[in-house]
Amino acid sequence: MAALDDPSSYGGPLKEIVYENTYITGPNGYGPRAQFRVADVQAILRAVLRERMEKQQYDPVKAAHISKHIAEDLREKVKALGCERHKLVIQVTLGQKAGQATRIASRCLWDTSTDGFASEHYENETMYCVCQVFAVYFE
Amino acid sequence: MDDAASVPDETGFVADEVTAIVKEAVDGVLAAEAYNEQMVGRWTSNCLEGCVKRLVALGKPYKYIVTCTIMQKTGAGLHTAASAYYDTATDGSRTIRWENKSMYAITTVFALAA
Repeated sequence: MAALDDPSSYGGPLKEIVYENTYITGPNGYGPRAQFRVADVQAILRAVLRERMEKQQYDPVKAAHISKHIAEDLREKVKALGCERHKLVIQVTLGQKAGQATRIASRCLWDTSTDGFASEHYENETMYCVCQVFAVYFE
Repeated sequence: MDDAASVPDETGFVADEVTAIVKEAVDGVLAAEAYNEQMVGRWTSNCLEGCVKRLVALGKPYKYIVTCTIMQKTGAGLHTAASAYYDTATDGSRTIRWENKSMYAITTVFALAA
């Protein structure tokens, strides 16, 4: 008689896992930590920018790496805040200061009650950096 | 009997469609304009409104985030990086670069399935 955990006793293909309905319609239902908290995210942005950009001079090769690292770093730190129901989009723009003018704008089409964004900027003598974090609730 | 297995392609994120839409929107606003400090605010708003309107007209069940950067050409360097935490099977992003003699316009569209 085949044991219960003998693979040959399984019949047919693996069944798709069906999750039970949680009946929770918004991030509020998951507790206070699940809400997107703008102030906390802004504090993280400020800390990361200051740490990465202080005393740096603009260098075209390094700047490419710095911007990528900042984006990845921010993604991990914001994920660690605990908004598990939100998808995150982080955009980092790093530019050299050469007397030019730049304008960065964004528009979002989302549900204002559940989604949000945070943005911070940092500058030193040779360069400036603007970070934007967007969080979109996923049902 | 209907063939339930044939899912229409249009419900996914089609990056080329989005590129065409954004190019059209930005061309419509910035073609043949020279960089002008007072007008930049209006230009970014118009580009973004044009993009969002056209994206919505696609009729797909997506939430959109559109970012536009307009920079004057002075030889300065600019780096943009983006990282995201989303479902790569249903969501996507696209960055479109546009330039003329006096400025650059960099537009990024993120589409996230609702």
